[in-house]
Amino acid sequence: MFTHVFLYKLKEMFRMKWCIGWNLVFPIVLATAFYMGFGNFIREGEEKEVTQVAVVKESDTSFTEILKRVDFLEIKWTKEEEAKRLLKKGRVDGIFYGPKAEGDQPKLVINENGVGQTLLSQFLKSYNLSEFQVKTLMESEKVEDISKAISLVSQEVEYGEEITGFGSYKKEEEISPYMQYFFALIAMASLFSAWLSEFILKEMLASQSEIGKRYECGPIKRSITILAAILAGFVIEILCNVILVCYIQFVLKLSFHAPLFYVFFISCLAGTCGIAFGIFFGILCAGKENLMVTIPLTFSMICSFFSGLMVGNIQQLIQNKMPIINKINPAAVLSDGLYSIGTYGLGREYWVDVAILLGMTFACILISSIILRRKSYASL
Amino acid sequence: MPVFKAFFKTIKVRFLSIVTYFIIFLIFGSMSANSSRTAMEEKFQEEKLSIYVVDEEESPLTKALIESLSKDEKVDVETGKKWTEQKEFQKKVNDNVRFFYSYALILSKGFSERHTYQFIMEHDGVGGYVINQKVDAFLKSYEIYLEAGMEEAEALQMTQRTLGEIGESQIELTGENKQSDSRGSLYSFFSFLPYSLGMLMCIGIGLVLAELAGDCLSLRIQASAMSFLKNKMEIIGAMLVYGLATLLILLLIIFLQSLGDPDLWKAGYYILNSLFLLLFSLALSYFLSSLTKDNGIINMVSNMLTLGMSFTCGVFVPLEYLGDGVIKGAHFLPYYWYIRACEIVNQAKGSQIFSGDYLICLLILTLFAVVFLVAGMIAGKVKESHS
Repeated sequence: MFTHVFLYKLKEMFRMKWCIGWNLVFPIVLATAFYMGFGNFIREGEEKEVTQVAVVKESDTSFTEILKRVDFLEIKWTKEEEAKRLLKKGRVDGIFYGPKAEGDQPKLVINENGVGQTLLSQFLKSYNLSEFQVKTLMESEKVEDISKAISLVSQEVEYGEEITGFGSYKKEEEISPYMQYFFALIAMASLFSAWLSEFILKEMLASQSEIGKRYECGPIKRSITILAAILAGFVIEILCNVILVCYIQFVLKLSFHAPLFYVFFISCLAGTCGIAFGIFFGILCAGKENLMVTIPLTFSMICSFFSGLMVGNIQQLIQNKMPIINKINPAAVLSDGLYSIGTYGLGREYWVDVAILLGMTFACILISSIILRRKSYASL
Repeated sequence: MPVFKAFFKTIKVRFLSIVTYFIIFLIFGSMSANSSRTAMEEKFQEEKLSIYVVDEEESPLTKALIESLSKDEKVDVETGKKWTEQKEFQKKVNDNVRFFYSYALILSKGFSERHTYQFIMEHDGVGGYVINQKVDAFLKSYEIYLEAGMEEAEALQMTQRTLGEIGESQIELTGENKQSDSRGSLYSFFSFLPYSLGMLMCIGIGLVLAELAGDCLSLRIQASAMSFLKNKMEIIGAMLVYGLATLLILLLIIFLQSLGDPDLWKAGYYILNSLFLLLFSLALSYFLSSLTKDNGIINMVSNMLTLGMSFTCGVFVPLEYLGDGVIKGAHFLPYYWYIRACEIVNQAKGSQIFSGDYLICLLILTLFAVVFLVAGMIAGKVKESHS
């Protein structure tokens, strides 16, 4: 009988347009929309942005010599007209007019304010600083050995060392921060499964529908029918999640930077958690038709919002202020699991997230079964 | 006016959902306005970057460096933590750079002797180079004064003075692009309008029309003494009243949030554009309700359509960030023309607004509204003949 109920529930759910629509089509459409909106950022994020500058050289000076050695600027040596054209079209962030002779000041022309322009201005400031410092040292009476100091002025020194990795983290392999939107989307799709289990309960319980009365009159134990139906919902949810993850990875070609098995595993676990929450809500709001739609929808949307569905860095903001909120929000737990495995590889964080999801699922099912066990009818 | 009243009684059931969309508009509209607001630029201004500093040493040199950086940048300092010994802390700093800060500066123990530091740069790295240049300039200047025979305290003082006194560089801002880049609160709010207005029309009108067309209710209306024409006129009247009232509330939110905007005089052009958007949204909701009577499907499809168009037509992500292919495709979607009209209003001066381009956008929006209205009528007819 278990198989019979399971197969029929599976068939029934596959035929429900809203079920496939909300759990599969809607996340896929949203993923496509995200891809169109943020796809550029994710793809371009893999290439390092470089500030471009056109240089109009009047003569060879120390300024142009320094420019030739700079590696963080992409320099186009051009004539003035061409430089102006490039600036107008936005192909360069600014134009450097080199000094005509030593002692003259270089000039920077820009079209708008921005980070690239700030970099060019800072470069110009650093160049002017050397000149200013020589002058200050010459004027100072306290200076003992000016020659050594002035030789240091002309030297190019780099004091900083970039951290490109620690532990298993490698900067060049890191995942784009914009992938956070896709993680939150998977979390939202997983929590939508709460609707599935609410629907299942509605059709299984005598207190909620006519079909429920017929089920409860039957000779099969309530636990077996509910378990079979929930398992059917679970199969649908796994299928939807696997299709969504594959769509993001293979069709949109946005990498999770992690072995797919672990992505599937934690996503399906979040789906199970959504189903468990759905059962819990279904029992709590038994008979209240309006609440049965509003509560899971509000729950999944609020959880998804705080995991970064609308504001990508909100989860990190909460992590800095009140990390406990991220640990009790199933959507944030899933997106943290996907983020940690994609950025730092398989480690403690991932397994902690798995354990939290398992704990939430277990707690919801336990409470729900205690409440369900006590419901019995003298007559229907 | 029984049908008119029935329309609003049915909408009352959806009161909670409708209020939710108004709240979404208020919250996300404000967020979007704050994040995309750019002022008209008259002179060059350095971009203010955010830096996370881990100061293990807390020496006079680190304090002076932090003070120097704080003059131009937003600096958050973390003290009392050891970078190398705490893996969790390393991850926290790295995550903060990935999501909030442009740069993390790690000043380890022994920094005062070695003068070397470690750093983590943000994803694209340009902001990081700016900070690198600043820190290197500070340290080089300090070393030069030390080499010249000054005491540490004196060298620090001289470094701070030098960096403060360094003459203004010759920077000229031509401002040729400044008009297209300046975005006020009014523009940001109006560009966020399509999503909220679209959803409010679909969940309000779409669902009510589907309910009125339901088997039981529609048969009762048909059996009544009310003429067909009066019935339809009351429905159209209710739709218009609901649509205009909704738009009025949204406009009120926009104006209360944009009181100080210098572009407030352009409000009339934005409102005209949003009236045409309302026409389209009404037609869309009518079309959806004529396709199905299932509330769940109407809700789902309207979510897909409005969210999909919002992401691809410049509502959520500005047009300049979208790929060329996406923009070409967006030409076939109504929200694109609404956003284009908003951009024309934002960029133009005075009488330039009523240019051919602006009117073309309004015309295309009207065409989309007509297409959806006709499609809805045909779908309704086909359904009626089948039943």
